[in-house]
Amino acid sequence: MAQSIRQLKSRVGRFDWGHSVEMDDVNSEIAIIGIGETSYTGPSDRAAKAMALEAVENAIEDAGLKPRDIDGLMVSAGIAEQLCPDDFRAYFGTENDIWFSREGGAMIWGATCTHTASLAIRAGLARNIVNVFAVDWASARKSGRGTPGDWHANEPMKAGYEVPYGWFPQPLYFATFAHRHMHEFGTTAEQLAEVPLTFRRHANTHSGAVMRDKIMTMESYLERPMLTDPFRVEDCCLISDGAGAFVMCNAEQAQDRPHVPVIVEGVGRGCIEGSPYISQQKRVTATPQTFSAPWALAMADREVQDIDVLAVYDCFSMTALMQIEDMGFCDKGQGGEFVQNDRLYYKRTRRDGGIPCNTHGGLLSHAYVLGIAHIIELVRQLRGDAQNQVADARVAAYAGFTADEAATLILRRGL
Amino acid sequence: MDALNNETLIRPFWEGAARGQLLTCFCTLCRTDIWYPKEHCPVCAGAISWRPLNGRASLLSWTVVRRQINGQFDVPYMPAIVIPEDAPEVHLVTCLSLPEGVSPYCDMPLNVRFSELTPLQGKPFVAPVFTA
Repeated sequence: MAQSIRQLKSRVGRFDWGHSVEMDDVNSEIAIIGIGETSYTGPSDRAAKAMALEAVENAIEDAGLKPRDIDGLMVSAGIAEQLCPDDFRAYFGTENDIWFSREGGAMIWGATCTHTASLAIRAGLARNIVNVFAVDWASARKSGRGTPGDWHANEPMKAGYEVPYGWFPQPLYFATFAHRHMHEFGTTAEQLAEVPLTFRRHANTHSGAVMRDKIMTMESYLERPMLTDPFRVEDCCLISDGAGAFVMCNAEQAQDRPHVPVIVEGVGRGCIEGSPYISQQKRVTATPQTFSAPWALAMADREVQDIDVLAVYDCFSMTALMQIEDMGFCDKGQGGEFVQNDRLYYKRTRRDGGIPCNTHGGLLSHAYVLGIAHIIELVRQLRGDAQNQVADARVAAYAGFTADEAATLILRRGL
Repeated sequence: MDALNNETLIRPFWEGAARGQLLTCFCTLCRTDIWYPKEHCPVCAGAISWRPLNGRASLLSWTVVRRQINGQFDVPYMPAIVIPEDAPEVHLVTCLSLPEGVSPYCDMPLNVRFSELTPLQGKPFVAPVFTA
């Protein structure tokens, strides 16, 4: 029985520094039936659109469908060159109408696209929707074309009040917040290190990870020079070229596909007050996951203890740690201690008190494709197909992030 | 239209700094401090103006940029966020200019100073920075 907005609101409560976006209950309406990706690399001179089409082609095949079956396309606006329906039709030689949304792709939209797609399917606008994200920032940065910080530097208030002091781009924002977390909660460098160290270990046993062959130890991490205190380069995500995609359809139709369907149980989205100015956050030791996770869990009718495998948006070590706290896996401020003792390592399952996290290596060690590969990894985990397979993975969560906003996606293995 | 807004909402701060004043935008009707500045008060829609601050603040947090990331200044430099004592709803992004041997710590009491900053590109400009 679907929960009303009022019911969901009463479960989630209110916050004094941000809010949950009120999202209709779509629990068990939609499933992910196919995943596809390209290889992930540093600068490769591959064009974003070409990579997107390759990922889409792979996802359609993985879903057991043909391109002519696809009648919906979702991409992220404003990052690299993304596909439009004409690109799809030209490449695949199809002619059918394609419902199109720019509220898809990766980051927070990697999660919320499932909600948007559910509503489109309900409205009869599409039946088989492909969500895709491609990025060529490694090549772009090398050729001087653009970087992840550009949007921030061009926003008028930031340009007027933050850029003049050199407080940009993202590594400086979150290094600043990291110092506050260390001050308020006593989080240490050795504790923080556990995040990049664990994700690197995952990458070392994942054939698709950019950092697969690079070993990192606590000693080697601590010896590395500071980039922007307290962050070292290893606390910051990679810059990559690559693309990922997934196909969604109504959960009932998902049963006839080649793979076990992955059912969407809950979606949440949260936003800070005063968006987009994170410098003005009332709490700089927390993230908008504070507002999005409760809504997604309420929609899914689950507790965090039900999550077997997690993928958090690890743009930085400290943002991953904060999101883990904010989702409720541990108390606020206890994240430093929480991530020690192999807590996030894939072999330490929930039964052993662990929470396997970023089992592909994350943005820090797998590839910086802004979360699309996180969702692909979770689908593999729930199918039982992952390289760093978590035993008995039945329920997964993705935490997406864009600084002033966050989103949460709860997935379960279909029967 | 956007440029005019930015000149209305940004230029007064920097003109104040050039005169040795630390200013915040505020509502003339309900006295709420408005940061970042907006054309009208978000609480009561009243007209905005600017008021001077006493220059004392506490350090919310900071970073030390040690390797060239944004090309703005020579490294190392110390950008920070401070909270004015007399405008606690305002978070000012700024830089710290601390005496030799003084290390920053969260909640550290600071005082404003008006210093010339020399960006790697463009002209030097006077800015409110904070010191112990």
